[in-house]
Amino acid sequence: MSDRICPVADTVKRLSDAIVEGHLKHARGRQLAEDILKLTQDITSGRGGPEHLPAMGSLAQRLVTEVPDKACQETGRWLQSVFSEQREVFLSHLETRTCPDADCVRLAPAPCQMSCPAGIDVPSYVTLVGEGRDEDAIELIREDNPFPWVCGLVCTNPCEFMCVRGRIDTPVSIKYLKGFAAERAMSDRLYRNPEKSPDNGRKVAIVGAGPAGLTAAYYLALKGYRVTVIDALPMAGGMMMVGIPRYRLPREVIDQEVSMIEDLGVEFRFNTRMGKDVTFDQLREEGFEAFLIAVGAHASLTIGIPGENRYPQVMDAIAFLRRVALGDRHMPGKRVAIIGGGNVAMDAARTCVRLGCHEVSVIYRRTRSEMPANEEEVHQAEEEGIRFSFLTIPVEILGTDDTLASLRCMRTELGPPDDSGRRRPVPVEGSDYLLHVDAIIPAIGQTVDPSGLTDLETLKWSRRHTVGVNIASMETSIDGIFAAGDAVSGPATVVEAIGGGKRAAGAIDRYLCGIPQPKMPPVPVRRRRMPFTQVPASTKMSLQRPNMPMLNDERRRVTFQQVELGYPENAVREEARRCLRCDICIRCGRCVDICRNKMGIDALQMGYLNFDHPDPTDFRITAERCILCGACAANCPTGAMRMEDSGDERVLSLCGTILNRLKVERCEMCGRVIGPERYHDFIRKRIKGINQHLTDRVLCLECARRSGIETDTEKGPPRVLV
Amino acid sequence: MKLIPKKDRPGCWSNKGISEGVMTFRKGQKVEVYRCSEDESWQDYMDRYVGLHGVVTDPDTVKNDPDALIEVTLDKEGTHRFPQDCLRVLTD
Repeated sequence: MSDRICPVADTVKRLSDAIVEGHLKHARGRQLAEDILKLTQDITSGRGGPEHLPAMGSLAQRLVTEVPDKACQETGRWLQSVFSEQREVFLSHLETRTCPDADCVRLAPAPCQMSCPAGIDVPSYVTLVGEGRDEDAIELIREDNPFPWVCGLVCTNPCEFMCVRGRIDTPVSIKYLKGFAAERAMSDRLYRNPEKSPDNGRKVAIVGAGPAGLTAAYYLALKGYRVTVIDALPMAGGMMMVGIPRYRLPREVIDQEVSMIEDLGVEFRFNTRMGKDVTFDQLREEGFEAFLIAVGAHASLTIGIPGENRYPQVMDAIAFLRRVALGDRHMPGKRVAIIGGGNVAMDAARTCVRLGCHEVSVIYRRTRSEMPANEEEVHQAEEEGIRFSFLTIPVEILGTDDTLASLRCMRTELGPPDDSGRRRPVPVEGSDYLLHVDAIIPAIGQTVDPSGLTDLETLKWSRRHTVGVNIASMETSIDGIFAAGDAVSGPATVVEAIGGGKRAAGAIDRYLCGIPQPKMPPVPVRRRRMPFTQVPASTKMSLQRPNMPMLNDERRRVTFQQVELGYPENAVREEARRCLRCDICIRCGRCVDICRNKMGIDALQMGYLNFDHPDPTDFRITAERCILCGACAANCPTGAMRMEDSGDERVLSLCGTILNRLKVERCEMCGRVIGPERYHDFIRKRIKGINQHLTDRVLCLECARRSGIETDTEKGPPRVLV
Repeated sequence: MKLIPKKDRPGCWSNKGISEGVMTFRKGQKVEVYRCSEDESWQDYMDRYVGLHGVVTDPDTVKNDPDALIEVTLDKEGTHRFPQDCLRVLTD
């Protein structure tokens, strides 16, 4: 193998060392070097564009000419020479996104981390939780997500859909482990903010105190910016606070995590409407240099049937949930109909139950299997006594004067698939009937309310009525104005808003530092390699995902108490041990191939390695067949498969899962540890046909040679050759 | 279904003039990004995702709308929102 190190990777390493080890003492010089490092890292991770190299050259030039410090000037000159002499290599990285030396190959994060819109390093924190280091786990999570507790309760957990353990039995319960760790760290008073950079005096305004806005505020405050968050509501949290009911996400959880952000010096202006109480021009006059629009999607879509706007008892789901979140505990009516089959419809229906409504019906035009709401939400709604009318559409709202009386509905049936492959609901003639109700809550979708943004005349909007941005940088069509969260994606998830907010914070920082924006959204990268937790194969296979203890049905119908009660501690620690550590094992299958095809042993039954068509997996099989030859470990490119001697035993493990453990034999002459008997037998069998002079002596290679010299070589080779 | 190669983006195929291949996606389905989309939400960097497999992690949870952007986690390329006409289901 060549000793050559890729010049791009080498530049990252040497520049990082220079910054971390404090060689660059001049503040301006250090800042310039950090900017160059950021751009070089873009190149090593495949995110660079054509402007990167010129920008890096210009920053290096400034390091030489503008910084009155010898070390900085030397670094600048060294960088200039690297950029000049290795220009072709840098350009090749940018154009082909390939590193011929394989030094810049992006470290492959685990599928769970890749699936997380916030890019959290899941395997590392799961390992920490398994070891009982909850506060360390939270510190690690907050490198990518300032809301571990919120996400531990309401995240849509895409990580669990990608969890490789799910290909064996069930995914690791990642979400609840995070929730447990956050609660425990908070309870132990060990939930802390990281150290922030010194104040740089530059001001950023964020419009919207929801998950995207607060996340951006957190990361910008950590970088030393003066951040002000403006929100029309009287409290922080946005849709987390007024859109998610308290039985799923208690207010204290949001308040505690928001207060951590406030502790970083973030200023809040509540009850302040953009365009009405304050304008972008006024904020610019106050000295704000960059803006983030994170206003969410709080406007409801209308159903468009007669009577919809006539009766005060018809209220949209978002307004209803907001009213309840702000403290209103009056039931909307004894008999309520919710129109829609999404998560908001489920939230509205379950909230009605808790407010004391006698009959709550969900009207949905398709079948249960086509409901867009999460399966567990639908299941819990059914447990709480909510009725579902599938294949039903609302036709007209009827009443007298200002009082609602009933909802005229019509049955539908699913027609044959149309050109698009979807079976559309077709009304059944003559099937209409009256549903007597006191209130109707349409929950058929939300959109962005543009009313606060009308003074931004050149702001580009998408045809889906969301703010148009460059997804890689979250830049809008207006210089210095960025956008993130539901305002960009339309109604989406909390964790997606968090990811967008983090991306926007990075882009605002680049904008204010005058460095180019990336051409692609960031791909999560691994930052550390946690040691493995040792788990026997039998334990790894037999541990099962625990069931979540739930509040009893009666209490769920009358209180807003949290429904999911959380795992007990022992269940959390055990569940964490089910993790396969896919951050280390990249599932290349080389170990299986070598064991099966080269050694002819076939001791590794790991069907989960196949993404598209997983076969059965059983780690316990290995102990039955493995001879501990070590071929798998020797060929593992990441060090996931290991063979190590421990006392009188030789142990084979995969990411800490102990696959096989056999007693080793010792050399009869010198006492040196040599391989296990099963391996020796295997070798003997293999060479039996070749060498007829095998003896039963157990000798290491050296003693065997010596013994061979001292005695007659015709006695043959010893039994063991290690 | 016939696809038309796009001149300016080798490897990408346009569905312009051809009926939209939209369908309802469910959480956890394995899908393939099998072509570029003409939708405005398709950004240049997404061209490199054509041919990749992934899992639907957040379909439209509100309306079941064939026009909604849905969240897909691509094996080794992170999580992105795609228009539905560039995706096809591999397995259920």
